[in-house]
Amino acid sequence: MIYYIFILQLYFLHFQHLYSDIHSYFCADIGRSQSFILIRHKSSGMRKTLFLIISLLIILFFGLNLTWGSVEIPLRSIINILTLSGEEKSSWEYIILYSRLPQAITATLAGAALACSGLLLQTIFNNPLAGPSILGVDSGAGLGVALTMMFFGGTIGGIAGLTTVSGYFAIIISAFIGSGVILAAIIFFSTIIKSNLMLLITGIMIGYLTSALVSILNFFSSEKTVFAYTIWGMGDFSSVSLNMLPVFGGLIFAGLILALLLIKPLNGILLGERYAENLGVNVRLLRVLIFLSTGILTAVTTAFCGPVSFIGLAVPHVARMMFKTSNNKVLMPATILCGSAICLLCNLASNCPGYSYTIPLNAITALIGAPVIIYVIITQRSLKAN
Amino acid sequence: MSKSAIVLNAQHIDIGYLKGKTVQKLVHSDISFTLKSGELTSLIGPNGAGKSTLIRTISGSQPVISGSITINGKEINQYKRADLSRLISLVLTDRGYIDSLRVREVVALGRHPYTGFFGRLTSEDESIINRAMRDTGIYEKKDSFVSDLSDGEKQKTMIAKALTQESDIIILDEPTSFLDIISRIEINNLLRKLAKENNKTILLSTHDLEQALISSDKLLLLSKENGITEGVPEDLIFNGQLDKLFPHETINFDLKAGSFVMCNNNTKTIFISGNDSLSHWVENMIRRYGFIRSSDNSNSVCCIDIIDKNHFTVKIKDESLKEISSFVMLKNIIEEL
Repeated sequence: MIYYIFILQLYFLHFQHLYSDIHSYFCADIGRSQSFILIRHKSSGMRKTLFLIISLLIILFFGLNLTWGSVEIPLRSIINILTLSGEEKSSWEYIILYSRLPQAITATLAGAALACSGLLLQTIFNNPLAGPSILGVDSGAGLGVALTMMFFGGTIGGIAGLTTVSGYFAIIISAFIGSGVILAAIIFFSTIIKSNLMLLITGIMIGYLTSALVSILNFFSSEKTVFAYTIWGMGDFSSVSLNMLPVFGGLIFAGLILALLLIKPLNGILLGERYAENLGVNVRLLRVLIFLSTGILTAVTTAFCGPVSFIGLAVPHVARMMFKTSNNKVLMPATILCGSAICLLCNLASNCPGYSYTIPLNAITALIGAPVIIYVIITQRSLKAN
Repeated sequence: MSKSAIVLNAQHIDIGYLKGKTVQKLVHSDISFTLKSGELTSLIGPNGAGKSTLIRTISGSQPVISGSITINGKEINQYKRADLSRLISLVLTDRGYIDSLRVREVVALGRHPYTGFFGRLTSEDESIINRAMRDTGIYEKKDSFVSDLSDGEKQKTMIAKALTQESDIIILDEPTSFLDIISRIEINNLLRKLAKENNKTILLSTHDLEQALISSDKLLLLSKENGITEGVPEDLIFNGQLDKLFPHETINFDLKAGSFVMCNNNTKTIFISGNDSLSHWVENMIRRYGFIRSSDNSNSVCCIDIIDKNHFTVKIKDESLKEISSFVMLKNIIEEL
């Protein structure tokens, strides 16, 4: 909830401007064309409504994430546990506070982080098909994680070992270095390769390379490590324990704030790099900052939740389709919120309410994400807004 | 700014690509030219002559290798990036990622150098944006998505963006290359109007010689061999500079047609007489079949006399006079020659 209020605040910080823009626009044009003002009004009203709907969906899915699970806990008890009032079964308390709540928060944050980094990459590469998983950024993080697991002999999350804070930091830092190296390589290639398509293919190849290295590492690893790595590779939101949440959340907030501060130059670069340069955007600095933000967001999420595919690639398109704009003033908060909502939904689906099984998260995200991407490619011609 | 003051002055500049500090590829050396306010200047040259390199250099996105470029009397590399973006605005062929932005949002991006950290627009910004959209005739479309615009309207949108940058200089890289003839004329007129009414200094590179000759105050001819030649279009035509621009044996600049035409020195000539506009098109036809128009009928292979569009008389050497009634028949006769 704190997170949610926080995002809303950031959102209002930006949107005060947007709305006052539109407001002053009304005033300047009053009397010119009455019907026209109505259209304006409608479109800004529609955006407000959409933001409201997504916010409500996040709250709904968050609630469902708390209530649905293999153990049935009545709603009243859940509320009692969350508000710390009344006596409830200690096992229920444990499930809610130590399992479902952290998992729901993790899903919310991870969704926001991945979606946001996808949007950043799509904007800077000027390419609708860029995303952390496509460009191999998260497999880079994966390689970093695999190396750390090899050398420290531990595993990630609650499975075994490395549950200490320092262990987590080792993994986060190695994931960050791994994704950073890949991002740097892709940025390097983007200066040589002008064609966006070729750049994407290069990214995919880099992804294969790192995956191959991971396979080789696994070959020399113990069975336990391979198992842990495979489980980690399926992705899940349950690995962040309650005491790790502040670290996880703090880092993701840092990445998100950085991204939100870049909205103005990001809009400049929509026109293309040379135009942006002409508008006074320091493109090189912008690249470094985007690199930093994407690196943090992807590395932290990947380190904790595994390489969650398709969220970064697909969510910005979902937001773009809903809000019909690529203006980052609207699109970035929309993407962040959509990411949270979709990840909460995915987590819900992967937990298979009523059963004790868990479907691998990546299967769910692919089921949702792949059709979106295919739709985008089919209708791509130029990603028409309407 | 007073009318026709020198805004941009390039003196003895070398342009090309640097790798580190060493020159990797020198495109041109020792070229000089000026751009004046209130003037529309067209940069013309064959492909590969270095037009884009020149444009990148004078817009500050690529360093000058040697020599000096001054804008309003100050060296270009003395300006900060932010200041430069208020002095020069660009319209490029880059397509960007703006299809799902509205026209107004794109035009508003031109205020980027003036707005604060969050890009908030003041009411003054708003009125500048609206004025730019009106000046370029795109105001009616301000709420359309860029993807729904025609190519000409997209170009107008980018020109409006350049106007909101409120720069003295507007540089356009082939602004009419994707456009149909009507939009080409429209854009050229618009640019001319902006130069004259808003006292802008406008430089555009183009392959559209015909429009450049009609609308430019000045031409910059750029070629690998001769570097840069500047002058009023008519001067460049009559001192043969334009002909030198595209050195080609059989393609020359035709003074009368105002464009480059294929001509062969040993082609046979045809004498044409009659109505002015019709004779122009008869000339167009005979040229297609490898003849040129001659001014005397003594050594021509054929004489065509035009009475009206359905009535020609053709006299081929050593043959009797033929009367024909259409261009098709004329074509058949010329093909036979």
